[in-house]
Amino acid sequence: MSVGLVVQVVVSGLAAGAVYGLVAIGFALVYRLTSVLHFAYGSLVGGSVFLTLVVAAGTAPVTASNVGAARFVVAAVVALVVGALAGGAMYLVALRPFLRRGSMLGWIGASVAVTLTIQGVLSSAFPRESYVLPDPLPFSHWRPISLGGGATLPPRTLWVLGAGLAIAAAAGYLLTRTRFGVAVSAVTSEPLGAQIVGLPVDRLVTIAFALTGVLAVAAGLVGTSGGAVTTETGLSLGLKAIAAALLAGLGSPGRVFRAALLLGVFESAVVGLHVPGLPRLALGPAWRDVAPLLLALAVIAFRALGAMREPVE
Amino acid sequence: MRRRDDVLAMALAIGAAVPLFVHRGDLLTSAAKALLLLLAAMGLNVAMGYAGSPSLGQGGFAAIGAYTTAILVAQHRWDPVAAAIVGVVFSLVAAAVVARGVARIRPPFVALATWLFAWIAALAIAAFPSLTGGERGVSIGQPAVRFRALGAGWRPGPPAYYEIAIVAVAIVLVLHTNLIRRYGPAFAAVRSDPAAARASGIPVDRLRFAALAASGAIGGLAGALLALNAGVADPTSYGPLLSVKLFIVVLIGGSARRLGPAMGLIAVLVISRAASGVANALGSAPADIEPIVAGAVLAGLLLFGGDGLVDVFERRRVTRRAAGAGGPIVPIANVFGAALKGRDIGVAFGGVVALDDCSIAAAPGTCHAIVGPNGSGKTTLLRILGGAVVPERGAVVLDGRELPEGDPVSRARMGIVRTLQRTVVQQRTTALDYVIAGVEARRPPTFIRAVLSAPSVRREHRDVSKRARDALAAVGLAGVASATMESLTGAEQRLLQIARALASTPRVLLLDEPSAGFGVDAEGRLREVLAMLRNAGLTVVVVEHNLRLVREIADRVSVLDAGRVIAEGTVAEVADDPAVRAAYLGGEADRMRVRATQNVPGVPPRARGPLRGVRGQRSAGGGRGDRRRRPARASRTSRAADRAGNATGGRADQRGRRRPGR
Repeated sequence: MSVGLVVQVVVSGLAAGAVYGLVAIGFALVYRLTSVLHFAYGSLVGGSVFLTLVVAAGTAPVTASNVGAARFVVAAVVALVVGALAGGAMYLVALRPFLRRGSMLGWIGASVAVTLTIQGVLSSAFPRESYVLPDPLPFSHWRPISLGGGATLPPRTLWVLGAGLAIAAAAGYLLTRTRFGVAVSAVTSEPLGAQIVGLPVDRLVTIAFALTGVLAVAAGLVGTSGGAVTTETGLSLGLKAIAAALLAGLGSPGRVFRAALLLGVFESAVVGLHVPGLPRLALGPAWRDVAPLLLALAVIAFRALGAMREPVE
Repeated sequence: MRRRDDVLAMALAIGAAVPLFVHRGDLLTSAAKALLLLLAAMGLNVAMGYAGSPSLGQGGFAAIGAYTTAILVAQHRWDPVAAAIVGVVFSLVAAAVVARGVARIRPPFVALATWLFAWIAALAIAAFPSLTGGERGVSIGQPAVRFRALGAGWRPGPPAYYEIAIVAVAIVLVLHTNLIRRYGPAFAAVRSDPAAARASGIPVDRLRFAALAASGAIGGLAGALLALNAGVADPTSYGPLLSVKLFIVVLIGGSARRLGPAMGLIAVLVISRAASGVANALGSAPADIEPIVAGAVLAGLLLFGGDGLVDVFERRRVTRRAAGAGGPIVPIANVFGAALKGRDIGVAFGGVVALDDCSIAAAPGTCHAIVGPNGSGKTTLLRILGGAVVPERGAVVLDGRELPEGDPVSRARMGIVRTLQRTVVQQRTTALDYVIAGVEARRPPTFIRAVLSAPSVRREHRDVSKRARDALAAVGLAGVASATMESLTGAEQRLLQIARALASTPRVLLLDEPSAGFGVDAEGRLREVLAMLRNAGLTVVVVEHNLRLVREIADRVSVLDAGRVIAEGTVAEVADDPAVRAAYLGGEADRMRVRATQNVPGVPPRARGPLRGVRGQRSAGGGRGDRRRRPARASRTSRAADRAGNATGGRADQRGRRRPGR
């Protein structure tokens, strides 16, 4: 096993993890604000990706490079705005009524029903097996960076990693350093208290949900542009983000993002590294989607972290 | 009861008559499929409805059952029935593993974990096409479930409608007539207030585990039969989508209701039918449109709210309490109380020392009161004695035997039961059912015997409700047995907690502020109840702020301050102790109080008043040397006190810790 291969595995894992991390930050934020586990979040990611695709290129077949950068930017902006609106609407329409009623089964049901609807719209509007989201940057023309030992790294990976880190940093700044962020953390630690001291809790939560919508779109665009997407891409992204958020115990944005980076590397190692002597099915690409979820399930089962444990009285 | 059975009988009759009118094989296959979906939904209802463990994994368990069966039949030429049995066993094992993991976590995370499981199952099916046939699935070819003796050849053809119907109906009947009757009240306690259920000794984790495992196994059975019925196990029929569908079926029909899943399934089938009508009109494939329409309509139905469609057909009985009293206090039969000791107990939360070298000894047939200012560690001590908190140092000793580190449930099995400080209101539960749940703490698990409806279980059932009625009579509530809990007064609701504790035939009773929220008149009844329990031989340990009550009922008193026992003795001894006065009244206030009440020996008169708001005075007073990091501790408990104060909506605590817009 060459050093080059290890570098390839780690860097591409970090890039994938950065994308999961953006979604995971949103997922954890929603939980910390409302105690809601946002089952429909992955579908929002998928929806935004396909919305961008439609605005940028229609439903016609596209290749990775034949859409102009300007058109792509327009599409991205539209998707971000719609993502923000959808995020806020998700809270106001689908979750808040049940939270007010204190109906846990209600909000779980509502969020999975939203998933069902979005996935239904996607699979009926986009019947082909897979689509290609156009790419605003000409990465496909650049040669992969050689790492020695036959290992290579596409330049896109570095862009994904950089963009993911930058967006996460921006989100972290917004959530910890600004007035808005302070207000949000007041709500996360004690909603009733926040309301008593005069914070507009409901409006803050709505705005935070809109922010999670924006994060979902950003993750979708950064993570999938230039590559093949299917109607289930968003779902799979969402599940891995959930896994990452769980590994971090649904903690602060920083913690969650770091856990997501680790999860990305774990996944990439499972897929890319070959351990001699193991049977054929033991590791490899087939485990790409299964392994991270198994890891998360194992964490829940064997060491339920803070937020998950039932309080003792 | 009667009406529900009529409905069930009618449904069975209609089900049995289906093949008489439907002669087309494909329609029979559809009918059988609907029955099996109903079976899966009813299984799910056991976990998400009755036990309050919302599972989004039913599709995954069904997938395991279906694929195991299909693979064994198609690739290994197994007999279909044997293959289905193995399929059920596999899904039971998977469900047991998942259930083992999630029994201790909060319900929303159960949904999340099972959702992950459903996806793992689906993704694994997609990832290993060499075994699962990838997108095409595993084709069995000629579908056949056939018990030769039953109707084979009677209506030859692919779908084995009768065989499937018999299995489904048998499972459903057993589930409802045996299991739900046996475990219903305990399940109600588990789903509505797990913390209170644990304190009463109800085996919350075990019940959840059993419910999830049973629900998964039933899902697996449904999956196995669905695969045999359809002749194929394909990835689109099982998996997360099926999970969601079944979840919504139960939710819309009405969870934890017998007929809920059936109502929900009818609604969902109607919606699907309408959706494919829409799809035909639009000229697109029904399979694509269906989820959209279904999702939208279902979301709308959910928003419309209520407790599910069942309520349209069957009103839940709400019995108000009859005006007037609950009845006289009927003493319980004499019991052998147990001597309970806490020895040198110490525990700290973070850097805050909550208890330090605390010792307490309560003798059988006595009432031992623990008093002390807010935040002095009384409730923590009670929790340690009851097994809810594990102490860092020291031991709990029962009748001279040191108890192993335990949880409330195992303590309850040894006879130590605790009530909570807050008032627990279990919505829509009759007083009797609430108390019956308490019996569960000391009942041996009879899951299998209950399924088989053994005579011993039926006898036991009669015995249980007699025990519960005795417990109700002991607190003077025999007259409100059939009233729903929310129609009782606050004092009665608190007495009911004591009755539930009594139902488990305890030897030691730990009561946390039983008089909180009592009016003066009701207080008399509490005093009588406590005196009666003590006289019957029980060991009663009571944390109490109401010093008048303490003076009247306590044989011995331990005074806690800042995590230490500062005095121990009879009421009179303790009340004279200068340290106690300092702790309660502060140095300054104590001197004033002593001057004002010099001629009255014994308890500080009207001590109750100043006790309530004593914290403010304390800070001016003495005893500071004892207190380590006092402020942090004080703010913790005051928050807990606030929560306890508005505990009328006590569910908020576990449902959503943080809820905006409130």
